[in-house]
Amino acid sequence: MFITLASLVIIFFFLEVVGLTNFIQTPLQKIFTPVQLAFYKSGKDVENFLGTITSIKGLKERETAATYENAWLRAENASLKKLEGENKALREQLGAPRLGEDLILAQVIGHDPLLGSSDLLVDKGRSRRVKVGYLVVIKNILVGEVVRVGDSTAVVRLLTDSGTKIPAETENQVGGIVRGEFGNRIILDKVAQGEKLKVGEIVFSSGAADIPKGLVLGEVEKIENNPAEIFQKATIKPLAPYDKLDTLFIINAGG
Amino acid sequence: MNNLGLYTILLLGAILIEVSILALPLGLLLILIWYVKNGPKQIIFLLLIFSLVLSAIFNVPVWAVLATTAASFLLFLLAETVLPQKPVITFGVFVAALVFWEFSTGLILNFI
Repeated sequence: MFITLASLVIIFFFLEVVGLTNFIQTPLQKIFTPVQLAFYKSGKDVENFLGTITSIKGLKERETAATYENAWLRAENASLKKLEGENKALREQLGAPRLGEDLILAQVIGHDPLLGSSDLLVDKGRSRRVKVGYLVVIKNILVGEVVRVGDSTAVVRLLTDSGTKIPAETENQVGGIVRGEFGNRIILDKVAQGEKLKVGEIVFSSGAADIPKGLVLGEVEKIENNPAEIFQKATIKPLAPYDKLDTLFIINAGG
Repeated sequence: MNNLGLYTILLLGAILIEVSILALPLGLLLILIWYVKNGPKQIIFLLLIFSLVLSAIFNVPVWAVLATTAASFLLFLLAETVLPQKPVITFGVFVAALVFWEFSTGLILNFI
């Protein structure tokens, strides 16, 4: 049995190298994507139902809607404030590629089958010209990055993933690096001591490392400032609740 | 429809639940239960179906999922053979195989 299994692994490895596994995986994806969407929606429905009956009637639903609305309004408000202050700089950038020109609407249909991982599965893939490295947003809130693409689905790595590293700045121009930790939280790190961080401040991408400037990464939730350390850091709360994501937009960050 | 056909459908359902609702290795759990109930008969078929479908749904290489699933299964097999047949130990071996699958799959996918 060991030899059979080892041989199968080797055979599939070589099939993968020469690109022949696509012939098996693509039809399977086409068959399972609609079924999976139904499973995902049903799961969410059950989750919402259980949530509703365990809390005061209707409160959960209203709270979710209000959370979304509040998040978007705050993100929009913060962006507008920033845009106002950076009017001159933006004019100079008019010639640069802008977001929103090539939006691909995608539905979340699943998540990573592994515990402690922070990947999402969406229902658009290579057939809709989605590529690895494309960014995933809701309005101007950055949710993650496409890390694997199949024919009709793609895997999105959320900001909470430990592989995330995004140069960022706060509303008050305090710079740092946003990174994921343990797949369940976001940290603003490498903030110089002496810089003033404020709870509730919105954190944006700073425009470096191929991530467009001004995308909302979250809000400062908790500041950890130890004077003995070179840098201070803060916990960032995502403005879009990751466990309730439904419809997303995939954008080509490179224009 | 025979037992294997029904079990395969159950396995596919478990995979869908695994990637849509509950991130637990339910598919591997079903394969291990099949082994305990029916022995090694058709086990390679189930391992292959599980690896093919999970890798297709989640856009990961088949060989990677097959390698970690086979390794977890062989670990289970080895432990079952070596350790005494007591319910508590069997339960422990089940849990160990599932945890091993979680870690090894996470590890291998991070390197790919």
